Amino acid sequence: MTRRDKVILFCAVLLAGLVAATALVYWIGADGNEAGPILLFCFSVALGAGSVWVVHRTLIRARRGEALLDPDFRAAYQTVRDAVASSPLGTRTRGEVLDDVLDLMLSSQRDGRHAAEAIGNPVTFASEILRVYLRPGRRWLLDALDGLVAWGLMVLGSGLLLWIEDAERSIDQVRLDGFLLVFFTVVAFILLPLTRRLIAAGNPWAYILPVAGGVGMVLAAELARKFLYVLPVVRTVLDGKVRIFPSVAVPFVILVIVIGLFIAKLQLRRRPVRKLHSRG
Amino acid sequence: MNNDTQIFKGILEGCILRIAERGEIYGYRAVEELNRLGFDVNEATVYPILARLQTRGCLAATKRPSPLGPDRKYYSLTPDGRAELRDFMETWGRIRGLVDKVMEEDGHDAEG
Repeated sequence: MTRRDKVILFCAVLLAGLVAATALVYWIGADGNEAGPILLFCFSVALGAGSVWVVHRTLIRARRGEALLDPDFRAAYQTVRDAVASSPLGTRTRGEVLDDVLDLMLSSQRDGRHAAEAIGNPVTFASEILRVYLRPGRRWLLDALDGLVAWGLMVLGSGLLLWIEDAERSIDQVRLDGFLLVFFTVVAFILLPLTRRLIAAGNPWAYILPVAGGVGMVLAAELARKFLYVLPVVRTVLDGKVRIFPSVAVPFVILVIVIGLFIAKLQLRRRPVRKLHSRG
Repeated sequence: MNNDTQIFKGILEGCILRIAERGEIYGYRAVEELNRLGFDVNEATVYPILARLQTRGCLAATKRPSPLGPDRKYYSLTPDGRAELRDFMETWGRIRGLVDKVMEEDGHDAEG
């Protein structure tokens, strides 16, 4: 395992452990006769184990060809792979690029070259490749679209889940905590783009950022409640409720907008960076 | 010359188009060929150029099985690539002539 593999596995196990620990604390504090907390704990342990397995299969396990690389080239390839995977490139283009890079590295390795000699700094190499396919302005736009889609899906999903809890009321009566809305905004427009940037820079600790960010926000909220509750804005954010669907049509509008943004993102990805002028 | 300059990369583009004109090439083979000719380049320099030439339509790519791992991409020159190569050769010839002229001159009149 490379250092990057170990860090990612550690982050996955840590997150699974935190979820299981939360369910355990809930079980301990609950009434001993209830089956719900026990089931929740068992489910969280199973879910955690499953998520660690998925992380291993998707992010750590060497794909075809990659297993043929020596540790030197493998570490470099993983850095390039992570940078490409966290970029706005389409799935097909990503696959093509990674196959090309793998072929280059296997050829170099066969001829006895070292990774540093062949590709230099893998972060810079990945950045050069991405610059071929994505202009800086377009990358910013794609990141913004990603953020809007993520935010829309989180708001829509949480609103629907809250409505399902008490489906007898109308969907326009659903209220979301102000803090949760702030949390979704921070995740969609700060945490996710920052995580992608750190991954592209070859920093495997970026995988712990979502967990750290979530824990940090909850901690900040609790500290704000303890020390800053006198401020009206803090009380509003922490305890206020937002009627996220002012009318029954709003969830459908949000869904249509999210789908439209997603299609716009796909179209932006497909358009070539530069088109050669046709010659007579 | 600094291998990272835009001028050098532009020259490499023209050279790669010329190499592709002679026959199909793949990424590592292009690196080997350029180094055989006297350039000192590596995969990190050449692969982005190949990708750029492909996205611009100067090179067409086909994939075939490789003995080493994933399918290998082979590049060949397109009609747009031939036109680009012609432009490059004309520009290069003109610039080389001008630079040679500047280098050959002994001095110039410094009129007040």
